[in-house]
Amino acid sequence: MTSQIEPSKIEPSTREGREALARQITERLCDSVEQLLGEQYRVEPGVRPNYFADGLVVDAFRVTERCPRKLAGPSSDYRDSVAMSRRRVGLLAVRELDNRAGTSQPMLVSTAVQQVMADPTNWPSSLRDWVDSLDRAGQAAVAAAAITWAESALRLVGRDARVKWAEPSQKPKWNVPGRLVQLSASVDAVLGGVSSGEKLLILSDAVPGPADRLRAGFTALVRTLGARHAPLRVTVGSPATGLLQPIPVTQELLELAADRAVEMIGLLANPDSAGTVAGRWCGYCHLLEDCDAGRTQLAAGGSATM
Amino acid sequence: MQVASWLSEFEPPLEVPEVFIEQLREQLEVTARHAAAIVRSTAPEQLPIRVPKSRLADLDCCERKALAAYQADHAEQSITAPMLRGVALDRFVTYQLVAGRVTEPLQTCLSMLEAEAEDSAIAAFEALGPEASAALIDPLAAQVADAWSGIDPAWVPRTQSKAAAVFADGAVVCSGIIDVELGGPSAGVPGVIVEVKSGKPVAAHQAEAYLYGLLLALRDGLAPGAVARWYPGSDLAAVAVSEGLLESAATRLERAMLRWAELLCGRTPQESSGPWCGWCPDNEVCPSSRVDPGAPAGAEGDLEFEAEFDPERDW
Repeated sequence: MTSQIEPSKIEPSTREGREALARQITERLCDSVEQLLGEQYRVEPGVRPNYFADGLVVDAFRVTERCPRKLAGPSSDYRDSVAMSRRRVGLLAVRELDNRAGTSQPMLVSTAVQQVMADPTNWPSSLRDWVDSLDRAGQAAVAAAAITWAESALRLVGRDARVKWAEPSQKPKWNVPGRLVQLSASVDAVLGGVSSGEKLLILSDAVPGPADRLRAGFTALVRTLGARHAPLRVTVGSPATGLLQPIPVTQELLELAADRAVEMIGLLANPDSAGTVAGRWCGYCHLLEDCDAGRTQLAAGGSATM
Repeated sequence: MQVASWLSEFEPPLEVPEVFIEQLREQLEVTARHAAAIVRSTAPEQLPIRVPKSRLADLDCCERKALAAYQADHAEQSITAPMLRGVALDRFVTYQLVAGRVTEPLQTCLSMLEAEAEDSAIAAFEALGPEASAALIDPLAAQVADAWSGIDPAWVPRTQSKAAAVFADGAVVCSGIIDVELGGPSAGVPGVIVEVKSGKPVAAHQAEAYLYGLLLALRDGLAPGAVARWYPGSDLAAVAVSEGLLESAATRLERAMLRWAELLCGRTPQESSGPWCGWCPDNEVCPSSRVDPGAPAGAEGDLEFEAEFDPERDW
C-alpha cells in the first residue's frame, strides 16, 4: 500500500498538511510493521490485548539506545525510586501552580509540592502506592527532588498560562492496529492546539546533542499517530544547561522516527538477531556480565561514568 | 552563622553584566573547539570530553591520578566511613529544608537512601553496623539543625540541582550537581549556591564552588550573587561572585579541557605527589606516590564519592 499523497508535497505548516502528514506516516508505519512481523504479534480476535505481558512496547527512553543488544534485552528490574518519581510529582506540582494562577499571591513551588504530596488521591496509582509506602524521610527525599525538578522546569520555560503541563498518568501512546505493539512517548507540556499547531515540550536530563533530533522525532511520531495530526514542533528543553532547542516536525523527521521505531520493533521481536555496539554505555549495562564486547571495551579503558 | 541569618543579611554584589558572561562563553567555546579538535584527530572514540568537577580537582592535584581515576572500575570502589559521613550530611540538609529537624539520624538517612535506591551506601552502613554508623553521623544532625533551620521559603531551596555547560556542539561537557541552590531569577531574589562539605576545608572546595558559580552563570545567563561552602560546626564561607571569580573559574576550566584532551590522546601524565596519593588508584604502582602510612585509607569526605551527573546515563 502506498500513500495517496505525494510525500514531498506535504506542507506541515497548515492544519490540512499536518493531518495529511499523519495519514502518510501511519500508512508507512503500518506497512513496515506488516512486512516486518508477518504473523508474529497479531491481536487475537476477542482477546483484550496486554501489550506489556504479551506484546512489544517501544518507548521513548530507548529510542537513542546505541547498542542493539541492550535495546533488545531491556532490564526487567524496574524499581520505583526518587529518580523515577521526581518528574511525575514535579508535574503534579506545576499543574497545581497553574490551578492557583491568578490568585493574589503566586504560590511557591515548595508549597505546591507539599500540597500535592498531602493529597495523592488523584495520583497515578503506582506512584501513590509507592510514595504511601515510604516513611517521612523517604517522602522528604521525593519532595526535595520534585521541588528541584519543578523549579528547574519553570526556570527554563517560565510561568506562562498558555503552557499546559502534562498529566503524568497520561502518556501519548499508539497501538499498531491489529498488532500487540504499542509505541509510547512522554511529553512534559503542550503549547497551542490542533488548529494552530501543537508545540510539544520534552524536558531532558541529557545535555543537548545530536540525539535530541531522534528523541523529538519519536515523540512527534507517537503524538502524530495517536492524535491523527502532526504537531508543529517539539522543543527539547535542558534545565541543566538552560537551553531550549526547537525542532520543527517535518515529513523527514517523522520518517526518521518511524524507521527507527520499526527497527526497534524488529529488535524487540527478534532479540537473538541483535548485534552489539560497545561504548561508554557498557559500564552501566545490565548485560555486561554476559557480554564479551562490553567487557573488552571497559578493559580497554572506556569508562562509562566519566 | 546560620544560613538563614546570612541570607537575610545578604547584600547582593554588583551584578555581573550579561555581556561579560557571554564573552566568557565565547572564550570557553574557542578553547573547547581546540580541545575537541585534538581528541578528534587522535582518539575520536573518546568524545565527548567530560570535565566534571572531580576531574578538574584531580587535574589540579596530579594528572596521573586524574587518568587513573578515569580508568578505575567504580563498581569495585569501596565506600569508606568519611564518604558515608558526606552521604548522610547531604541527606540531613535536604531533610531539614523539606521536613524540619532530623530526630532519628540513622533511620532518616537509611530511609532516604532506600527511596533513592542507593543500595551500595545502605550496604556500607550495614557493614559498619548500627552503633558505629550512629557514632559517625549522629552529631551531624544537630549541626545541620543549628545551621539550616529557619530559612525563608521565599528562597525556594533546591537540593542536588544540576548545572551543565556544553561546548563545541556537544564535544565538550562540564557538569555538576549543586548541593543547595537558593533564590535565583524565578524566585525574585538573588541566586546563591551553598556547597555542603563533610571533610576538612581544602583549596579544591573553593575552586569547586567557583566552578558552580560559572556553570550557573552560563546556565541562567545571570551570575549568582554568592557561592558559599558550609562545613558542619563552622561558619559559612561565602564569596561574592564577581567578574574576576568567574574569569578564574573559566580559565581553570579551559586549562582542564586542554590537559584532559591531551591525556585522552595518550600524552604521558605528569605525576605530582601529595596527600591525594592516599586515595589514588595508582598509589601502589606510581613511583611518585607519597602515601602517608598513618593516613586513613580511601577518599576524604564527599570529595570523591559524589557521583557526577552523567547526561547519557540520566537520560
